[in-house]
Amino acid sequence: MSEKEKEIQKIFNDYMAEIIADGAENETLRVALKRAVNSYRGNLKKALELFPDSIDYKEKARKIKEYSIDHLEELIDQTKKAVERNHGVFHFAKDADEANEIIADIVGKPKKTIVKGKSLTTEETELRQYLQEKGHEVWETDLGEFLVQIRDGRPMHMLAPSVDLTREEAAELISKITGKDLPKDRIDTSVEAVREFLRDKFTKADTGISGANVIAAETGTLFIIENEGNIKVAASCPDKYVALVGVEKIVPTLEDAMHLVKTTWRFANYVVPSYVHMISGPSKTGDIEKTTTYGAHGPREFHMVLLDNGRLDVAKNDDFKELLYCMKCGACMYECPVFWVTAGHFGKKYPGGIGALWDAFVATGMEEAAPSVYSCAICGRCKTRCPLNIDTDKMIKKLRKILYKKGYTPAILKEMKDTFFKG
Amino acid sequence: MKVLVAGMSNLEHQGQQGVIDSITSLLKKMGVDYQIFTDEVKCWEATLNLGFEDISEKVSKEFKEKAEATGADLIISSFAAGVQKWRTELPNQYGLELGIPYIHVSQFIADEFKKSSPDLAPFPHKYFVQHGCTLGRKMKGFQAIRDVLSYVPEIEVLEEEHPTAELEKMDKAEFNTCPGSWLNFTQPELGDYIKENYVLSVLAPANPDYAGSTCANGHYGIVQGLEIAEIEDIKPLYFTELLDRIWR
Repeated sequence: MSEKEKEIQKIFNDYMAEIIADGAENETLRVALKRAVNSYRGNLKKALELFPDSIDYKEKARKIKEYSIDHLEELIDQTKKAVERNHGVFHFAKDADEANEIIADIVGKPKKTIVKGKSLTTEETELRQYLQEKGHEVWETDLGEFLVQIRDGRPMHMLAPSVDLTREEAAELISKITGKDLPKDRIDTSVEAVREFLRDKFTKADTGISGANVIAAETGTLFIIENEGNIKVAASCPDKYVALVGVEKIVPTLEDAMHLVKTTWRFANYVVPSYVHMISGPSKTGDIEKTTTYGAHGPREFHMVLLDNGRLDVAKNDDFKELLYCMKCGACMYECPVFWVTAGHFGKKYPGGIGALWDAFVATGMEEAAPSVYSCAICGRCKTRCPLNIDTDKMIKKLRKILYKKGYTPAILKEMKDTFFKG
Repeated sequence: MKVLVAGMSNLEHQGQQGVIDSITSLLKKMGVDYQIFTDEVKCWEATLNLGFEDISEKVSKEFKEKAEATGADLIISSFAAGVQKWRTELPNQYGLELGIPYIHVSQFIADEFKKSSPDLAPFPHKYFVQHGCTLGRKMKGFQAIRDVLSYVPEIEVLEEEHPTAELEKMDKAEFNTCPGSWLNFTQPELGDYIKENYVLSVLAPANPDYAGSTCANGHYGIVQGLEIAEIEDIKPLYFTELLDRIWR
């Protein structure tokens, strides 16, 4: 085995060790995941019964994404103009490092308090860790993401980052950080304790950061779906508000954006979310002489940081551009047998089969993504569940060809090939 | 009509002798002129799934040449992957067309039963069908097995239920859970999860007497899963085994 092959094998071995130790041998994970899947299916059923037209949304949503990804550069330009017209500051980051640097510049000198909303894009760039290293106090304010932060873990699901935790484990973690002795069998007391703990951080925060679900290019408007209200506060209280968003989230119009937002929430487990924010610029008032003045009650500064990090290349690749249609609703993972089998340890930064593709092309690179790519059962159940009908298993098979050519195939499969197909 | 039976070497490799014996026995009872494809290329379909592009065209061609040389009029298999590869992937990727129709064994039996109804003994049991992902979800091949089992007197056929399938205007089998047979290939250490997430979550709550998949790989998963779960009340039974057992 060459040094390179040894290195590849080590990545696979580490992955196997992780999914066995953290996954297969963890009884509580099974309980947590089972509860989550049953709850998801029940909620989706309720949503579809109440709003049967959701089924028809899917086709239009797919068309909007197809058009948007095919016209991405044009839409980025349109978004930039709109944000600047709205007195916001537009930034374009070629990669993760550049995005983090831009945001660190916006935040300013060390020792600032920053409150963050849950965002896979900030996980992709490892923004929290970057800002912490710069000497800032950064708090994840989504409950699930807060639990990820305090246990120094990683999100296990696109929308439910702590889907692998039971109520008992959550209570224990929250008790530690709040200094309260919380009952282990209750969820509401844990939620209340976090609410109280983070109130203080929200009021002290200098900067609020979030991602966004969709951007409407015509007005430069961010659409953000949430239930907890943490983003509402993080995007309103601090002086500065920054949104870090992948370029693939842009669609042409407000109507298109709302259509995608509705499709996302229906399949993301909500009959209706508590909040859908539309943010187009800094806080302003025209109440005195109808003269617009910026910095009323909300943030004085509005920054939109659009992240490329490989997305624009993928958009031009006919074999893989479909992965950019993903709205990150996370529905596929509740039906994915591998997500279950690996107890959520399927994918590196982006979870699931679609996450393996995101990791390969955007977040981690192909070498790191290889174990997830080879974990996919290519059973196609994710496509059945996906509101955008994304053919993940077809892309996985194509990606495996690339990985094979690059030498990122695990040894066990190479051995099988050599045994079965000699000569 | 001469029928070539593919996939038998893989069944043998998996130790599914009961499935092999029942297929050959049934074909004899049905009066089919058949030949076992003894020198087929093993796992050639997997080369396409795993990205071994340097050999996938070559081994697929080899399969084609060997199959066509037998002079068969039809190829059947208990595995769905080969059927799908020749139907879509190989023509699209390499322009390769197989000169012989290739269908799943459930489709073959359903077609034969339509021509001549079988004489089957009653089977007064609950039988759980798992629709294989390739045959079911990807090829929409749900009906053949349902048709075949409709000839079985007194059987109660059970399938996996999904709470939103009807609302989404889909066949419930579109959401069928994978019983995890692929794990044996790459990750046998995760057998506990097959037990938990298929056998105990899907199969046991349906409370069947017997269970089987349309896909031989899926069936292998069910056999393993029941064994790991130490469940003896539910017996794995491939549908050809069932038919062979009650054939009169």
